[in-house]
Amino acid sequence: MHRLLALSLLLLALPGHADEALRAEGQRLYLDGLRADGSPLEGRRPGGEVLRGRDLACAQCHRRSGMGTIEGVVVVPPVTGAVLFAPGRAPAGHAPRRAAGVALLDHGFRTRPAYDAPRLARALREGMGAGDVPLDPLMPRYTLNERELAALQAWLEELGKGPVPGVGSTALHLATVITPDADPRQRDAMREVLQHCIAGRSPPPGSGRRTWVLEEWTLSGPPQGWRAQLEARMHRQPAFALVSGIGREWAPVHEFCEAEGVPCLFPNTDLPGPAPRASVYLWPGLALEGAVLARHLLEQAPVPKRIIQVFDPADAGRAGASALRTALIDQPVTVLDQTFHGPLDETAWRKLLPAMEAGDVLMLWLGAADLARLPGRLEAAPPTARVFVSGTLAGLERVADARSIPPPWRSVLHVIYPFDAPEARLSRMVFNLGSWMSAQGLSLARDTERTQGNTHTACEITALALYTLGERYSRDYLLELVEDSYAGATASAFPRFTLGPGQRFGSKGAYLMRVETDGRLSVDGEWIVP
Amino acid sequence: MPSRLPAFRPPPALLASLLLMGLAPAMARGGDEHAHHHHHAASAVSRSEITLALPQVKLRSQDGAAVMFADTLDDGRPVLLNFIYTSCTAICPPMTRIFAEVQESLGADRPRVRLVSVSIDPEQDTPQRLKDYARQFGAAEPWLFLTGSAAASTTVQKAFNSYRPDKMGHTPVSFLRRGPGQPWVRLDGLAQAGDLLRELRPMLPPRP
Repeated sequence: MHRLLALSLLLLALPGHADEALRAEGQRLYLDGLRADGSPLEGRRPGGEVLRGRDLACAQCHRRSGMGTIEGVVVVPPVTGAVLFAPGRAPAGHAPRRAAGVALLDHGFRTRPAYDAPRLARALREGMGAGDVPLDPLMPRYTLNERELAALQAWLEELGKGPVPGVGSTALHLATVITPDADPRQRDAMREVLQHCIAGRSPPPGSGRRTWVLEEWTLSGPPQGWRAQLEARMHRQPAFALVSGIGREWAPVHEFCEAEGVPCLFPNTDLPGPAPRASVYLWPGLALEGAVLARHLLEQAPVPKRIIQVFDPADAGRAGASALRTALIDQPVTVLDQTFHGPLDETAWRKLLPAMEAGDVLMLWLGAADLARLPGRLEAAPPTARVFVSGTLAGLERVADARSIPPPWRSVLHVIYPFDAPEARLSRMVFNLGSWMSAQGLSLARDTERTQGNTHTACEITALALYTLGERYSRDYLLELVEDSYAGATASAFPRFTLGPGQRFGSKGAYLMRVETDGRLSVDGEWIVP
Repeated sequence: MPSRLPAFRPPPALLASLLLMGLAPAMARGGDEHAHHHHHAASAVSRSEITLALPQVKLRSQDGAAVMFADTLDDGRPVLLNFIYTSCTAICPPMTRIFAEVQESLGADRPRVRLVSVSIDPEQDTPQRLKDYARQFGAAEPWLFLTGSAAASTTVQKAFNSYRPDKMGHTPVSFLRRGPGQPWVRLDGLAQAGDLLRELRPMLPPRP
């Protein structure tokens, strides 16, 4: 025990460990605004009151990557070691236009000398930049001791330092994940669009920039084995980021992305993992449908006393069922789970549906084949019952026809529909994606257009972000640029697609649809954001 | 007709360069004593008086309650209003902090002023998120945080001539009004608590 203690003391005394401890303190100040003892960092903006902690953590404005940001007219300059401890300079190839009679004042951070320890101290404590120009009033003036200044400097020197996985000498390596449970037609649609889009957007060979090389990581076997396969692929040829991809189950991929810190951008899945940081998803998946239904039910009087939800716990509907239950946990509503395994026939249906009372709500987390086998007569459900189905699982309007659902059910059905209304969506897809697809020798298909549009969106947003990134390779910076590149979502399946700092889902709501007599779905009410 | 790009990207970098070149006098310089340095875009506050029609749209407060926008602002009290979003990095936290300072400085007069922060990212900023954000800044009655449909938020932003198709292109701006039917004071730039209180205090009716 004593020997162990002595050994650790010795290790602590070694310069490498001292540096590491100092950097860790700097990192905490930078990211969370917390001192080594856990107390909040203090500072103030000129004319403002004393601020503490996260409010004035460096990362709040300079971002996790240290690359800064632009908001309206506010320019937050980069503070990574390579930039800060070198003289300021204009971006390569930048020649500002000049006009007669107008004096050009470039940003102070582009004309200043390099920072060193005393200059950094003066900037942080007094707000005076290295070029003897006061810093923007948005930059707080901090109360920092010598150790904290050294710690911050140590962290900033580390920030943005390479090497970055997936960045080769001439190639930027990207990958896309395909799980074995992906529907083959949707999988092929995703692959085609992604391959063509990445090839088309990549800087061409000989351009002096790294070309984008896309690998397909096709997984096999049950989900328990996927994580190891992903790690092996990453070891063999590291990828800077994962783009699009497709799978029904996604948890192992999600966990891999979070553990590796590799950006996983907009996979086609209905089951995004919890609390994403490295992953950015198209939408929150089936969980969103459950939350939307809860929100709708709570807003429509009368609030039901009982909700019966039917789902297969082995299938994706479980995520929706769980979200619905969670959203209603504090409400005086009984949620009754009716679960089943395998395909439903009429006998199974009769066993599954309890006698329903007036005012009950029935939620069906089912695919089209099961819905088509609903009992032909409605005696199980009184005419006043409200019946909801998951638009994603049922695939009505694209892979199945709502007319296949027995008529008495059809007329009382509400479809939770997290996509843009079919006709508006199709015309937008044709307009924004059709000609590109034709030029690639590809074609939009009725049953795959959502996958095609979403894959194109994943590629376009990634491409926009990669172009802005330039040579400043950093996975954190890529994620920050993705948050700001949602203008690339011209052909997504969703009516609105936006991101922002820290946001991890592009679309955030759903429509309710009713089924018209001809089987078409039509929007019933407003877009619901839970 | 679907447009090629759903959101026109305003050129914030261009705006910033214009400021640096002294080409955006209305935004960068308002004859304000804070404007010592042209490159200190955020420090320059420009004041203007405007009249506008408040749209009667339905929004939702941080408590989830439905709020008719015009009715709520026309409750007779002086109003201090801004536009924010909760995931915003550089500008909104200082703006919200400054409103919190105003709230504190008002002391006993606090209930006599309506503070309003309208989200410009309404789908992300659910009532629950706004509530957490309000708590983070110590916001209390009668400071309202409002969200709603994207269309409703856009309508409000347009009524205040503060709409940016891309939320990241937004600039700091505060609005004050003495009472219903009165003109609004518009302060472009990062107005400090002192700037806001100087406008706000004379708007308070004398205590009985």
